[in-house]
Amino acid sequence: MKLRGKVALTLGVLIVPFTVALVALYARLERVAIEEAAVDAVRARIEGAGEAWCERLLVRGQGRRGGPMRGMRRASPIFPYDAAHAGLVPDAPPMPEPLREALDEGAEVASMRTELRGIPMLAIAVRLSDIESPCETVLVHRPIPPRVVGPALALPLLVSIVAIGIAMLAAGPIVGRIRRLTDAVRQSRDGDAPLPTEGNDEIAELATALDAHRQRERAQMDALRARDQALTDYVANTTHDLMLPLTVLQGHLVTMRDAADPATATVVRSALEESHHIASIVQNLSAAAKLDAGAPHLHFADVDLSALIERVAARHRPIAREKAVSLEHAVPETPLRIEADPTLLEQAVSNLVHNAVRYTEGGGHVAVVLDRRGEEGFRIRVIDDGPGLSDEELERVTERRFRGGAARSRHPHGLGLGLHIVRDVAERHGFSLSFERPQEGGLVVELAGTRGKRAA
Amino acid sequence: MNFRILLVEDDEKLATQIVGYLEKANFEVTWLADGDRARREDPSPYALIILDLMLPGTYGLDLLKEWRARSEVPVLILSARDHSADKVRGLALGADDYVTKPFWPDELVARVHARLRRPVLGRSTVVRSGSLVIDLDGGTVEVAGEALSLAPVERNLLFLLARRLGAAVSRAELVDIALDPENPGSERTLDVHMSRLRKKLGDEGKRIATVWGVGYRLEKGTSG
Repeated sequence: MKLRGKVALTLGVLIVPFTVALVALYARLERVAIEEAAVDAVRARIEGAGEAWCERLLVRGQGRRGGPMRGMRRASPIFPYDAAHAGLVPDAPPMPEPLREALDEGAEVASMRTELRGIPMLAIAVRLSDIESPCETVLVHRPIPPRVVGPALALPLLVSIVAIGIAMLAAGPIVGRIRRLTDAVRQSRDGDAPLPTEGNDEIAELATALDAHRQRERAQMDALRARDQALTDYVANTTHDLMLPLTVLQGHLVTMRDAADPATATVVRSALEESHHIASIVQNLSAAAKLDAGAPHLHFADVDLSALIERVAARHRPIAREKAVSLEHAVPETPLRIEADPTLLEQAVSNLVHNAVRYTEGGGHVAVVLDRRGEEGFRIRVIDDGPGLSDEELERVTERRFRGGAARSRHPHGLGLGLHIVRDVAERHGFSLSFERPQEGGLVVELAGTRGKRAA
Repeated sequence: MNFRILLVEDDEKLATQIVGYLEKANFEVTWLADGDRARREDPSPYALIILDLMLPGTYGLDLLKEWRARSEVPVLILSARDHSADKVRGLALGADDYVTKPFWPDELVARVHARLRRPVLGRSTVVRSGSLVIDLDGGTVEVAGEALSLAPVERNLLFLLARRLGAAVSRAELVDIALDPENPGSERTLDVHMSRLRKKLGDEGKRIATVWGVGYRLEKGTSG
């Protein structure tokens, strides 16, 4: 419900019952006043009549004809009743039941609205138990002032409605300002447009506080973005700077391996394997920085998946040969193209192949297979006959920095970053990633998707 | 025949290594260390150009663009920059492939061979493996000079392997292209058909190698 509606409803809920209660209270007070005046008048007449007041009432009543209306112009007649509420004069009207009940319950005075010949009256019964006489109770009638009904209630209600209307009108400009402030907050992005802070009231103070808060937030976001960019640039520059010396190092190690005696060649091979692993870590750091920095750093383009698989296989074939691990690959006859970030996707596939080669013993096998799936789909599988993963490892395998048991025992160093990047890249591209442990052992990792599909 | 390769790389240590690998693999290598000299070089005598992207005073892709305006020589980009935009732009400007640093010497040599090999394979319609001769256009198969009669499925399988001589072909692709993929059990019957094909090829049946985790491969081999 909007603000004006709430104001109107609140006022209505408060004013109307209050007005009605006030009017009812006024009516009640007036009635009490009439009762008290009647009781005072009766007692005054009794005192004026002396001890024989009751006999005089009886005598007077015998001679009176026409009921209680007679003599109303001069003085209202007083009708006496005995203890059983029976009239003691012929023209005494029957004691009304509500009054009878009230008197029987012990009330000294009881009254009720009634009508006599169309005129609203208040019938008042007064108990005179403090005076010993046959006249136990007397009944008098008094007219009710015409204002204690509908018209008297209508006026306060009308005033209430007018007050509510005025309040809603008065709320109009305030609500308008709040709406303008709300629209300005919604439309502004990154605090680029100032909010309407004109005025010298609480709304202006709110707008000023909101504006200041937005500017602070904007400054913080700018600082965070700048820091993220600086960090990404730093990682990119550092990893770039590492690539060249790593390449030269690997080249020297290959030369040493080829020239060394068998014992030394074994050591050099081990050094080659570690340098290959370092290269993979450095490339993963670069990829992780790009992924953490988010969408603007991803560059989706048309990618020849077949060429990508061939590049990855070629990259890992030398180290596979060093370890005496067979590394085979297969791609479809015609090139298979998809939309992807080429660097990240190649790094993800490279990580899978790197892990397969690294954790497979000499004499083992690794295969990388790219297949079409229907008209639009593709499937990349990396298969090995290495140690595979346990049930627990299968569940946790793509947590960041998780590494399986075999990895921990054989290679105590490392980040486990590679598989996290694979999962992240799969998610960003809308690809599925699954791990399967075949019956014959080893591991099958499958990355699958459709051409042109990208995660939101 | 020794192919001539042009190497454009400003880092002396790396360039010396690369020249060493390539010469060891029987390539003739010309090394240029800066972009200006490379820009003035005529690319046409070379079978392949290896181009580093980050050269002093010159952006490698600008050089590539200029070469492409006057030559179709294959270009292999060397890059330490892990930027997808560079790779995408390079391929769009006409580079044939890229190698990201760090790389193994063997890897680079293998990629160079792959780039130089492709045009030759594309033109051949007669494939030879040992005494097995497959005429892809004529549709005939001979072993040791004698024509061989094959069932349609066996012919499909052999021709697919022959078109990809030396390369592993996945089981899924063999089933999709050579067998009926709608027939349940096609994966299982693939091995049966291969077994029959090998038997019909006799001694040359061993040319069809089983590739672990992948499928099959028709091995290259000299005649006779």
